[in-house]
Amino acid sequence: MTRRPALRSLAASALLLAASCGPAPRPVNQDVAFLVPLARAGEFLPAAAVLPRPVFDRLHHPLTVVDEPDALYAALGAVSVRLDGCFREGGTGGTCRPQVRLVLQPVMTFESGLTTRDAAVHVFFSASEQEILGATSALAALRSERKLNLSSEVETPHPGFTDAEWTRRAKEILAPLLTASRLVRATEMGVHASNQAWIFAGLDLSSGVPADIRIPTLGEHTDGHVTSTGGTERTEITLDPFPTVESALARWVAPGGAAAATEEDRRAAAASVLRLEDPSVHDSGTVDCATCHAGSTARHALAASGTGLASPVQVPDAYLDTRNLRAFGYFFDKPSVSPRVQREIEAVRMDLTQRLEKAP
Amino acid sequence: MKLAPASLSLLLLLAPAAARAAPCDAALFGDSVCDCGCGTVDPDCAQGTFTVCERSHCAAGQVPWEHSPASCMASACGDGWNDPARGESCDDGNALAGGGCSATCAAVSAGYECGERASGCRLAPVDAGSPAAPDAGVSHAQDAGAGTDAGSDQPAGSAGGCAAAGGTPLAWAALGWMLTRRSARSR
Repeated sequence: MTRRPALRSLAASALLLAASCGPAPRPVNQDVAFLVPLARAGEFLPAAAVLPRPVFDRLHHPLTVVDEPDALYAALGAVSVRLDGCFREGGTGGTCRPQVRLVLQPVMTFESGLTTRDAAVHVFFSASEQEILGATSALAALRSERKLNLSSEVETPHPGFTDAEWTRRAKEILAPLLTASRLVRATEMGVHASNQAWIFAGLDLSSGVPADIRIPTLGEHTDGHVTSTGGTERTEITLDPFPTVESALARWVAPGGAAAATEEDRRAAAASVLRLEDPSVHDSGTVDCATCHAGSTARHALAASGTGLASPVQVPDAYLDTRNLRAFGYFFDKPSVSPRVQREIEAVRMDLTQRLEKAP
Repeated sequence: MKLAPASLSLLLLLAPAAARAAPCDAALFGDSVCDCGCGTVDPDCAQGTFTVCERSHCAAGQVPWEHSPASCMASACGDGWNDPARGESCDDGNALAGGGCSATCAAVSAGYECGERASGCRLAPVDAGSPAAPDAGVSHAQDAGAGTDAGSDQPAGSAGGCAAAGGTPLAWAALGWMLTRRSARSR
């Protein structure tokens, strides 16, 4: 069991930083969630350090069909990191599970430079509330000590990666929380060679034993399938199985759906998107992954169709391409943080701030 | 729905040639060849792989996806579908050098032959009368595919592709490719 040493290590880090810099600063969004620059993804938290090869091999589908498994595993690295003091599934009645989560993508060099395959593995690590609070404090204090000027925006990679000392110590803070014994879930988004079709599936791990994730709202299905063939020209997305929750969105984005839609249909689809973006309404226990991801993808087209979609967050231009289903990672080489994830991060940051203020 | 072999044979015998060539003829399901169309997938298609169907209902330049077979998407190097319309000479189901096809699907590797559509690539049989192996970069797609898919009356990837039965050797080649990939993944 590694939790106790990890907790001591985190507490020691936080105390040392507090002693040298005064009281730990309040966390900002990039203290609790951040993008890793593509150039650092392979060395910061590579798959070999956070995703055991047997778990990678146990995933149901290849992440890509165009790469051999060894090459794919070697190219996988963390492109984003999230701390969460209370991950819930199934609404407010769900169990509160403190976690660290990483998104891993295959990062490769092509003629055009460094880019990603449009595929990902999302890994979930269990932690205690104290450990998450300790890591949050330590990262906030480290950011202050290294005099990094973090904005509240999370759409750009963390500036700390330009500072070798920050990078080394941030890794030291996170690594104890990312051991194999803490890995409780691994989900995948596999892509077809055309970059126009994806599979969402995953595993829950209990004492290292994997079992298929039961995807809510999809009945007996353990895979969700998405195709998106419209590029930047039009919205043409299929969801299979057809979702039973927020199906107004699925109807609108389907080939020919927008053209056939009434004003009422369009407003219903827009309302679906707004609910999907709201972490207080939906979570991974109330809606399937594919529908949730498609919400951000459809957003620009819905807004352009004339339906008002007021949102407290920016929708990155990367989502103008309707093939972009990313939530917190890179669409090829473009950082992509979905409106939902932006709101989740803000909510988590506020929650952790309150917990830190209450902590003895 | 998969038909019993006896029922299938009877249907094939009784059905006029024109009817057998009609798009999405469900009677062709269960003929050992993986066909796409009709909004469903032939039980002969291996599940859980990305291999596309031998015959498809999709327009030229598009391929069906067996995980959602009613959907058509752009064909691409590495999807396992040899598509001359987009400049491919071969497609061994990945975008890596080796395995019979170049990383860009533009050239067949030396010593291999690659077939049409979803037939993949395989080592060329050694010909005692012709000791020289095929040159790298020379496509053998047409040779390999010739005569093996007599029932197909449409070019690769064309619309209305549910033609008469045929192409079984190609299906076996595709199966071999799939097993190779699974074996690689299980290491």
